[in-house]
Amino acid sequence: MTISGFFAHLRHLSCTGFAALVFVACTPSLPPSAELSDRPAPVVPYQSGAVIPPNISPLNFLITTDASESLAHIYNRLGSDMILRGPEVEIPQDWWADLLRATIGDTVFIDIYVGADDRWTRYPSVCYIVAPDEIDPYISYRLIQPSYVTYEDILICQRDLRTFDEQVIYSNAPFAHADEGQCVNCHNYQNYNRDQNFQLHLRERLGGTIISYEGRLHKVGLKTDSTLNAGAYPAWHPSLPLIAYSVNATGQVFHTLDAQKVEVIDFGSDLILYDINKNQVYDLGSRRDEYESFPCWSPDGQTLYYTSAHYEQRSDNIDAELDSAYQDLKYNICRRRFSAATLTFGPADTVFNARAIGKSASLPRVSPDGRYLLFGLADYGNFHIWHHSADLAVIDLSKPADSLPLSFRLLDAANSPVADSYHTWSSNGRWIIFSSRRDDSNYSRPYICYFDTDGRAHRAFQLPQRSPRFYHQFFKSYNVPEFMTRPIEVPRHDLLRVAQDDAQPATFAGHCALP
Amino acid sequence: MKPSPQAPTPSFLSRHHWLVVLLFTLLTIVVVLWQTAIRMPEYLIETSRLTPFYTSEVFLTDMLCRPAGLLSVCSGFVAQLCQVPWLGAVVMALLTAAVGLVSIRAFRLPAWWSGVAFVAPLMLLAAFTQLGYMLYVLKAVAPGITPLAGTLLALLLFWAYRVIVGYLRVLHSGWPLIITSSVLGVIVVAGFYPLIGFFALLAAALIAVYEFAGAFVHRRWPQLAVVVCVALSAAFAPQIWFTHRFVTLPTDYIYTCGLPDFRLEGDETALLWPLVVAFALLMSGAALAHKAGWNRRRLLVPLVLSSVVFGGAVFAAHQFAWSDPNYRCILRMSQATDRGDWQAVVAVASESDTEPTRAEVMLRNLALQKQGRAADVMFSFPDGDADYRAPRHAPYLRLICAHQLYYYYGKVNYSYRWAMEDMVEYGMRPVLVDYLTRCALVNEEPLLAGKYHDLLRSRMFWSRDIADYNPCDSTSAVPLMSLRNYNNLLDGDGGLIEPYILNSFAFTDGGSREMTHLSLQSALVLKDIDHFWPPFLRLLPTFGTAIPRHYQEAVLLFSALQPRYDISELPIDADIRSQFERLVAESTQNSSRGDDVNAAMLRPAFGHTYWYYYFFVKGLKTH
Repeated sequence: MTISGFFAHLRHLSCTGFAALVFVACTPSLPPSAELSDRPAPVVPYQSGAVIPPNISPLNFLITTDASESLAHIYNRLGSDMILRGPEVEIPQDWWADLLRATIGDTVFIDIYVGADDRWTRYPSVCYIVAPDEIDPYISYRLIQPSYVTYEDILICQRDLRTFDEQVIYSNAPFAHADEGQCVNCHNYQNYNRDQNFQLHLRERLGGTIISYEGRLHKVGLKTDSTLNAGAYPAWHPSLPLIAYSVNATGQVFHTLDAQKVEVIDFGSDLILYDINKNQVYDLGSRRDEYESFPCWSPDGQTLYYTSAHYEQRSDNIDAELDSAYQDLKYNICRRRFSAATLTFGPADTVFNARAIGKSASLPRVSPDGRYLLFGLADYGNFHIWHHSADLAVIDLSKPADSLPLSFRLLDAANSPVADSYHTWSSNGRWIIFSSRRDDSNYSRPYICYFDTDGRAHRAFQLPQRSPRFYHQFFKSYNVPEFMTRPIEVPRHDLLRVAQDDAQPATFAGHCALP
Repeated sequence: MKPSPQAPTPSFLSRHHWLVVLLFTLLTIVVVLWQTAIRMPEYLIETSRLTPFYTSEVFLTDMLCRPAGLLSVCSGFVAQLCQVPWLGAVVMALLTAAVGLVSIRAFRLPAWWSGVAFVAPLMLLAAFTQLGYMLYVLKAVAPGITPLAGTLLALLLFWAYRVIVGYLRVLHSGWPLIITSSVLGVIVVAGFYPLIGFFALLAAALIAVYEFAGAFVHRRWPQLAVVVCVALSAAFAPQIWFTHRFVTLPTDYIYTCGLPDFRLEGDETALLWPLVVAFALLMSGAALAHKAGWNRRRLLVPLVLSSVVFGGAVFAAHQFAWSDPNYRCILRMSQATDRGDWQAVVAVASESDTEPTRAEVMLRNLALQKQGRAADVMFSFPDGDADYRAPRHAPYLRLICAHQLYYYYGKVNYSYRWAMEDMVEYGMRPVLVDYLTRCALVNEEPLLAGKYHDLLRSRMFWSRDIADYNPCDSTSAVPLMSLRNYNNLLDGDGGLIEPYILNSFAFTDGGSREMTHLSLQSALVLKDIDHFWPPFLRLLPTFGTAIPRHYQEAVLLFSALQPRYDISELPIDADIRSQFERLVAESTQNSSRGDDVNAAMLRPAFGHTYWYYYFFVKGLKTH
């Protein structure tokens, strides 16, 4: 447990203790009469209609009212109920867990009462439908302020979704020295971290990639003389000691007026394959006019999906050129067959032609059953977290291959008017977690939506926090949320120790794609 | 014998020794008030503007989970009071006095030596007042105040230890006492390190010195075991806390968290001296705490000696304090800019008689532009690129006022960007959160503005009126709209604020009248003749018969250098025309002399003109 966890527990215990005292002293009761309002309940976050997993921590909330008193009546159809005083409604964890277990497939209702003395208003119920499918117990994410070139105090954390416990996996702070700092990013797992196989990148000071594989923790340098850059966006092969990466020459340029503020542009990008056991890098054939990025394996490990933009350079200075032509970079989704026996990739197929509809795709993610391809869709580019137009979309891959390119549909129930971006599937394929800036358009928050067996997404809910005011007072973004079936068990100080090692440079082993 | 009231005698003092303590306490308070509220009120305000302290649950929890978190919260609380300088000064004076008074009790100093007890706190005061520009680059929370607050807490811990051990000594002796003392020492280090960081180690050092001296004075050698225990816990406890708990602590600061994050290089090393002197004095005090036989009869000599030492400390504290007139101007201008008080900004610039820094020049020109006077007087003020007299090299213009300049020049995304970048680097400084709020308002992001606004409101003091600041009301941004009348594009300043602002306006084609003036003025500053004429010709019909003075000067000069347009019909003032002719004549006459000689010679007559700027203000280091 972290110190913050300790404080949170302390606070929780004191709240619970105090609540117990108050309960004994004056158990809140519902007002005898209340006028029914036709307006939505004044709660934050308001997410009535969301489908929630039966093993999620309490969805605490804030009642936003000027009235002197507020009550929340939480109940199901089987008679379980609890009345809590507002405005900060913190639902007891054990009671909530029992309530959800008893309500699987049915609805949890929350009635909000606001008022004082004998004048009360009741709002229409906030409803949560409890899905039959559990969610993976853990997620990990990076906490970072939404800055541009500076980085300080970046944390990679893991959170138990059944409780509010959060642990730090890695912090870059120990390695800050004078004006030098360290950036840490791209935590990624093989098979939802079932076997503690994971990786993360360190940049700048003590740079390299930390890889944990089969109990061995080591640090490698993925930059070779024959590749554009060190590995960036990773994709673990589901069963082999292989990681596909994109290698990107990335830059940031700033909007002078647009509230989207910044463009993160790849001025060049390719794909590589890294063999962990041999510490060797292969490239997948680098073409100057193809900008490939965001690799993702199919669950059977026989296909590699990725995004690719075709762009023909018109001048000698690609940086300056793309500063004005950035909206011409539109990424399609492609795939290549992979032969594990020969370590070769087949020719590229375009799975989804986003350019043809004037859009640009990013971050393809195949569902664990291999049927759906989830991706981000925006007007241009591939770093969609800064794009208000970014939405989640899916393609049904069960359509016959000769119908390529496939058609898509937006996950309207989950999407918002601002950026909905970095997304990933739960291990059972029923839940999608993604980063959304819908709260305030600048700070990314994790949202979770249910994806049912018919391929429909449902209204998303925000990752619950113990304090209902947490997100309003928290000034870091949740970046790259990833599901895990097990937490990272490598002690943080072991990671810090390995981080200080020299990175073992990978060697370039040639091409692994068929022409 | 009854002492004479006219001439206090030692016996009078021995009976009224508290008067001596009171005298030094009051003197200390006066010195602190003089050094802070009277000498540098703007510095106190800046301390508050730059100190992240909020009462939101998430902020406080985060702070308390960091090493020395309690100390940071306490110091941050005091720092925010400095928003009202007299209040901050009074609290600091009380803190300083408290350190002296607790030293007297903790070290059992006799009253007639009490002047010495106030030397360390005065050095700690100097550690605050010496910082100057370092306020912008230090990442520790309230770096000027933590030494004072931390030392007070360390002294309290030491005092408590001494009292408890003294009490136990009556009950126990031998190894039980040694073991109990050791446990207490370890608790001080291991238990308080998370709360007050380095100052728990300072308390441990005081305990170790006290026990070490006691072992010698009383020949109680087994007592050295306490010293060993305390030293070992001081060595290992921080490491253990770091390894298992404090994930956000840089390894460089494991033993010094809570202290200002000075670097031991170059001139910055000197900033450590007041702290070193203060801590060394405290160690001496701890060593002398065993001394029982202070001579109670010979009072005058110690009194005089301690008075001399105290006087020396006051002098040293005065000398350590920063005394850069440019810095004072920058603080006053920057704070006035926050308020939109352009008259105050120009007044400060007018009063200054030293070569300005680029920050002063930029803030002054901004104020003149906002007042609508830039085209008439901006070149009549002295220009320059005086160094920021800081021991650490850093982009001070950017740190001090990039967010302000960009905001008021309508480049809101860039203001937001630098406020955000600096917030990441140096913490959630209120002045940055203020501009993040303003930018969110202009960008019509009310939810974001509300988030920042609520954070600011959780402070006890903030200079802006909450009513002006309604996050749902973007009308407060209306004055900037005329500067945002252009098409969006991707761009970047590369951290070079002044060249970017000047070039972006000089190269802007069209826009509002205000923007066109800025284009013109930027072209003048850049001495860019090509970019002068288009905006000038666009504005010409709006001038009527009154072309602003510097524009007239530029028209005459540029037409002489590169004739392009017939300016004979332009309404150029006769005296400006004749002055220009005189300049041409004098320049021709003195053409064989060097620039420096000509500059000095022409300055009295032409120093306030654009011509002088064009020919003689060169090679400025813009940032």
